[in-house]
Amino acid sequence: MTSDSLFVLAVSVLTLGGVFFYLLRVEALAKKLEERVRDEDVPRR
Amino acid sequence: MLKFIASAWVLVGLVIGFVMPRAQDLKTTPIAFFHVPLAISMLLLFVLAAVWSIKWAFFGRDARDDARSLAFAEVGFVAGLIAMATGMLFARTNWGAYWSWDPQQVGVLGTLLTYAALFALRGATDDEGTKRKLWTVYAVLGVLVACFGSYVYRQILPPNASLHPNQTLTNSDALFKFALWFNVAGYAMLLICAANVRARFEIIANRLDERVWRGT
Repeated sequence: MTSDSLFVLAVSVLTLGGVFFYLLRVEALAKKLEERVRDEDVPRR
Repeated sequence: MLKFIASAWVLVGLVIGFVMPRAQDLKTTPIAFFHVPLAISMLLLFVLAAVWSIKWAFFGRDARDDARSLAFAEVGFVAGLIAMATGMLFARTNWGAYWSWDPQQVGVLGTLLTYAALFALRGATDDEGTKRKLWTVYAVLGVLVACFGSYVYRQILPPNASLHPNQTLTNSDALFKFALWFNVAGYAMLLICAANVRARFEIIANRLDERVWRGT
């Protein structure tokens, strides 16, 4: 593998890592919102 | 759990794509292991969007199914945009131009424009029930256009009408085919994870809308 290919591979891996962590972050946000909406749906006494 | 498997899978697929020997008559081969899987995943997501919308229409009218259908279509659309952009880069190095009105390019452009119009039509309807009913028709229409634009159109033209290599997926050597299908599976899984997250937001938005209508 040439050094150019290695560079592109490294950039691709970093990009993929970024996408993965963003996906995790967004999923955590979805979970938090779901819990909040569920809690607020429970009728208050 | 699927997101961890999908990410590890794509990572391995990425490395496989780079260490594979160069394909015959193709420069910058590693793009093929990103561009082709995204294009196939786009089609798969559009099919799944149609399946969810049909489930909404005929099996229970659950608003979550409609949300999933919309999410899969949206993520498929983004995958299509990325596939087209990477395809243009691929075309520049192999055919000397970003855009050459190749039947495959035109077919995918037509598919993406169709979905853009369908999203706009969905957004233009205020009533939720009508919106969901119409979306069922849109999702099925969209997947028919996608199948025609990204596969059938090129098949009905004379064999050399397209610059895209013919039968790459079936006639390549076993190692190339393995790397390609390995990446297709990885990107499909990753995009399905992304679509599921998008669907969860749509479902939350629907619940908040319902609450606004109820006035609570």
